[in-house]
Amino acid sequence: MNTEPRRVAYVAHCLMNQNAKVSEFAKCAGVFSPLVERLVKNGYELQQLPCPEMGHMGASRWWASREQYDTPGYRRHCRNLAKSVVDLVIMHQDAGYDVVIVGLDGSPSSGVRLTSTKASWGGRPEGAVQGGSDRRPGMGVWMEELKFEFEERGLAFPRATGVAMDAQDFDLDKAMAELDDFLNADGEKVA
Amino acid sequence: MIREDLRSRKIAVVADYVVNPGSALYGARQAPPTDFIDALMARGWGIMKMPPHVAKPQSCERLVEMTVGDIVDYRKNGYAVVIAAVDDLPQMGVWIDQMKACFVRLGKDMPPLVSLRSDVSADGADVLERALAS
Repeated sequence: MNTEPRRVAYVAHCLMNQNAKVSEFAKCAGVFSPLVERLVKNGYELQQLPCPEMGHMGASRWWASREQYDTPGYRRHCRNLAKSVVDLVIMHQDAGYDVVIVGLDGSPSSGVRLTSTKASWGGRPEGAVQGGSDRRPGMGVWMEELKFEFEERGLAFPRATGVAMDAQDFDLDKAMAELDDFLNADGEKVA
Repeated sequence: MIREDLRSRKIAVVADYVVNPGSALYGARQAPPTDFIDALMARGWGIMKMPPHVAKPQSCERLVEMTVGDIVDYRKNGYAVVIAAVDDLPQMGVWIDQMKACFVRLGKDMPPLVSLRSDVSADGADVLERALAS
């Protein structure tokens, strides 16, 4: 009988598909392999969250701040997706899985610990410089709606972290060290 | 304006089973991982993973619809998309009937589809590359 703990990581869509990033924010060709290899090495199965920004505004969308995405319509879109995701999480939990969420820190939608801010953006696109909006602590709109859906069903939001690929000072080594800490926090040794 | 970055502009739509063949969700079908996904990663493919084919259909409906919408938008913007279906899994592992119905509803053509086996290895990445070239 297999006594290994069952683990599954629900990861932000773009961590497996950098083509979903808004223009100029792809850091590699396709899959962000340092993350995926680390999760697999530590016994995690992979589930990919949908990217609500892609579904909402598509591949040629403008850069946008959290404030611009924070509308009832976008939140409704996110919540609809969250209902399906929570169904799948419950399926895994019912099968005995420990579930974690790995978001995309710095993103206006998928940030877990860090999101974007630029209250002045709107109307004629101008003045955007490399790196885009500013950053502030907190969740993006998508992660927030996902959390709300768990709460509405009386369920705890799974342990969650983010890879800070959308931070303006992204540091791969630091991000992976933080991920190791996160994976270690459940008391299991990281390989 | 759109500026270039490191993205490959090529995307493989894959079954959950080929990503997580050892999952407890698959019971007697559980199998060891192959090097197929590693090969896609090494060749720069972005991956859109479909929900597990053993999940409840009503839980996956929105996600399938969303995936099809994304595929349509990617193709409109010049990205290459290939559906990597698995011919020995129910729904070809990728919710193929639901996907087809969504494309019909949107009045859009499906992207190239390749048929693989559930134990597909790195060679499967060649099949996807050939589908892009054809």
